[in-house]
Amino acid sequence: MSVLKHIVDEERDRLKNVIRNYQNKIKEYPKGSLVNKKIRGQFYGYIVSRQGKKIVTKYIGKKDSDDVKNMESTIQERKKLERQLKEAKMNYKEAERFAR
Amino acid sequence: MSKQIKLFNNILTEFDNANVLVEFVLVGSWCQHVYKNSNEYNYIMQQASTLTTMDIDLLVPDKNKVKTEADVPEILKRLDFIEDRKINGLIKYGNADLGLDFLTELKGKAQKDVIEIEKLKVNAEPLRFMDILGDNNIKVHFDNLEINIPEPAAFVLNKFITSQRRPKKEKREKDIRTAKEYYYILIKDENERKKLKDIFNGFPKGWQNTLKKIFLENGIDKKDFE
Repeated sequence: MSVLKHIVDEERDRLKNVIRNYQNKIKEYPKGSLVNKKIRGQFYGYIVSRQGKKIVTKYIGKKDSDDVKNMESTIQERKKLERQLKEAKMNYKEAERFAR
Repeated sequence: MSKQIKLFNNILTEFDNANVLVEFVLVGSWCQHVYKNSNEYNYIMQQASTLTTMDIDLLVPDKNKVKTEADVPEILKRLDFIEDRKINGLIKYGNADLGLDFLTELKGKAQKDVIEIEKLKVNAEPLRFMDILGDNNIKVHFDNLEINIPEPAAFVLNKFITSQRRPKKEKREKDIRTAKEYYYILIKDENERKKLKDIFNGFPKGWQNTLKKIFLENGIDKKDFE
């Protein structure tokens, strides 16, 4: 039984590292969501994020510009990492339950 | 566990698609899964247990013999792996379901603790006794792929000899338990019994003496190797 417990403990430690690495990686990405605003018949892309209690809107560019497309894929990547982080946290909780 | 098995198969398939699978020897506990499910060994390994950890270990026996150039970290990124940089510069990979480590053979005492495998854009941790696995590997058919794994006899002898260097009691116990189980399976088979003997007799005398001591402690008849 101690062998099995050791495997679970190792997995818990591994997941702890994975969670830390995901969290650090996510910090490298811009926060917020990309929104398109229509101004005088034209669409423009903005990043909307929360900074404390304030909602901050930052202009990126015209809707079809490379800047907006790049930002869109960057945000998608961040969201993917956030989903993986969530999964790793769930697995960590499961490993904790087994380890008890 | 089925999720891990699926991911394991995906990793092998992606590496195979990039023609890079051939550069690795799968070592560690995931070998047991391959032995059991390979065309070549499932006839003797059907009853063997497969207590796999969540780490896949891939051995690059000799960086100078790597022929293929590939961006392995990019392949792993596509499979949602994230880098885990250690203080000494070693990079391991992990995601919510599995970890992946690259290993290589430790050659001499003065070797660095991280070896760059430039052609694959990864680095590897050199470990002692990996040459047992690297020098005695065999290509098997598994899940429509061809994969290099250590001969089961080499796997067993490696487990026995590394067990004595494990600082943690639980790891030592796990190594011995696995080695003994596989050893008792292998000695029932004429070919595998011969391989155990041949590999053992090819070891330096010091290793043979260490192994004899381990055999004695674990009730294994050293005559099987004479």
